[in-house]
Amino acid sequence: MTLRLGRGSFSDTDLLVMAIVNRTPDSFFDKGASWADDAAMERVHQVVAEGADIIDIGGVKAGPGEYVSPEEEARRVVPFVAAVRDAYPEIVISVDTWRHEVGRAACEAGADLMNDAWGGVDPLLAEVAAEFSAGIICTHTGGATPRTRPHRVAYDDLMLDIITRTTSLAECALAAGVPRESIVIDPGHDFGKNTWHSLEATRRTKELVDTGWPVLVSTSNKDFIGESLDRPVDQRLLGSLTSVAITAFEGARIFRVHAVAETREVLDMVASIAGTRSPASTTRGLA
Amino acid sequence: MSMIAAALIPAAPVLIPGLSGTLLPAAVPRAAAHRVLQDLISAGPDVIIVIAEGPLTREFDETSAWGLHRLGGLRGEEPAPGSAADLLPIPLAVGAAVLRDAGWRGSIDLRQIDRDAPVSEALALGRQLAGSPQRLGLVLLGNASACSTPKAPGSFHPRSTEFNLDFVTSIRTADVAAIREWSSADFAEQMSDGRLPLQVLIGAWGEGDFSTEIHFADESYGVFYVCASLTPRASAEVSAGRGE
Repeated sequence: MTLRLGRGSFSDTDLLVMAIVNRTPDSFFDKGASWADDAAMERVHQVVAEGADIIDIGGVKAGPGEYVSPEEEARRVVPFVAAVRDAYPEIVISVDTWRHEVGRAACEAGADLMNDAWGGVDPLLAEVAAEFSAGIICTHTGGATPRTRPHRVAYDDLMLDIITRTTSLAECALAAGVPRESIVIDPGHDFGKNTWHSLEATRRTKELVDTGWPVLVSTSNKDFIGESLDRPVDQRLLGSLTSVAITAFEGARIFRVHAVAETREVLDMVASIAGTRSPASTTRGLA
Repeated sequence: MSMIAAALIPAAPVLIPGLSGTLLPAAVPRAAAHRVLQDLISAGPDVIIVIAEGPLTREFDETSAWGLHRLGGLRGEEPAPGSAADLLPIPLAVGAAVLRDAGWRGSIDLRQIDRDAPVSEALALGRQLAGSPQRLGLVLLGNASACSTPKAPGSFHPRSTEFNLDFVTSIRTADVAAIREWSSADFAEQMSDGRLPLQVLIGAWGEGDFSTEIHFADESYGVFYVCASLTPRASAEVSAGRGE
């Protein structure tokens, strides 16, 4: 199925890199590296040059921390969306928010995609996406409250819960008026999950793909990778890329990451193996 | 009264071998939990009752499946007894699994108490349990604050240090009056599930004196664990009819 995310249209064999650009002073990986306007725009220039298809801009860290009001979140995100739109008229801009007020202001500034990473906490977000012909990402959190950590969470059937909740959110978005080709589902690694759960969600990506909805995976540098490999947050690149390779081969289509160039290369190799991309140069044994 | 001894451990899945990974990150609290459970087993109960907080008050059948697969991991390796469709709540499943792992092969009675229940209900349940003609052991499942560090499940709560100290001190000094007055609001705020199991215990012992031996009292991954062996003082044991 062709994927249409605002002004971006992608074929069913395209593997898309979504670059994380945090407008936060305290996110777990970059710790405020793109908090300043100049640094954030420099990060955008870099990731575009490295092959990003989507820029994902977030104004509130996912983990617990200081309360960020909708007004403050909009202040962090919306002017920057406008600036990125000016600099890159064709790039797909995503906004990582669960609040419809922020989503609306971002769409007015030129955003194409609502990354609802807390899974439908604010149902009006889908209506905003529909109103602006934007896309929406429907994420599984197991019903977790935004910005909370999992504590002894348990699922009778993890994949059934993921599939049921994400497809239900997708159907709600569809009913709200978001076109089918603009709705994406995300298993929500580490959101409402322990490491075993996130590993299982990774291992069983194809079951999510088989629902027919396009799948996004966001595994970059997350704790389940750190706990699997016993690596601190700044040493999780190889684990992150491994998860990208496996989920891409299983059929996921969008990969939300910090390391864009490395991910782009992994995805090109996966596509080459899958037979959906021609190798760059094939002279070995053919001269 | 027939409650001959009790053990306090956290209902922490990380205590189950195979769930915490190959580096065994919780080896120290797990060893302490085993120690207090083995103390309890050594006291010679006929039956061990495992009690935890949950969404409602009810009993569970010993043959209920533990259902530890719900926590992920342990694929196809769960040593669960029974085949009942009714799975145990996770805290009771963890308690039963750790108790078996510590070597108990006798009967287990599983009780869940409504986490919103008032102290009067917990005391009454304790008295009811103590009315058994059998020699009973009690496993109390509960932790102190799950908000003990910035990386804790509930993030850091500025009162967690004070809360943890009060929790441990009340248990160490057998301060029955303090345990009786524990506030459900405070425990909820600290994401602590340790209030009602301890209140059931003091109900079982007629709010009498008891002695405590603490083998572990520290935070692990942001959650404050206490592993303790508890026994009634001699007078209470006499009134319990020990040796009947």
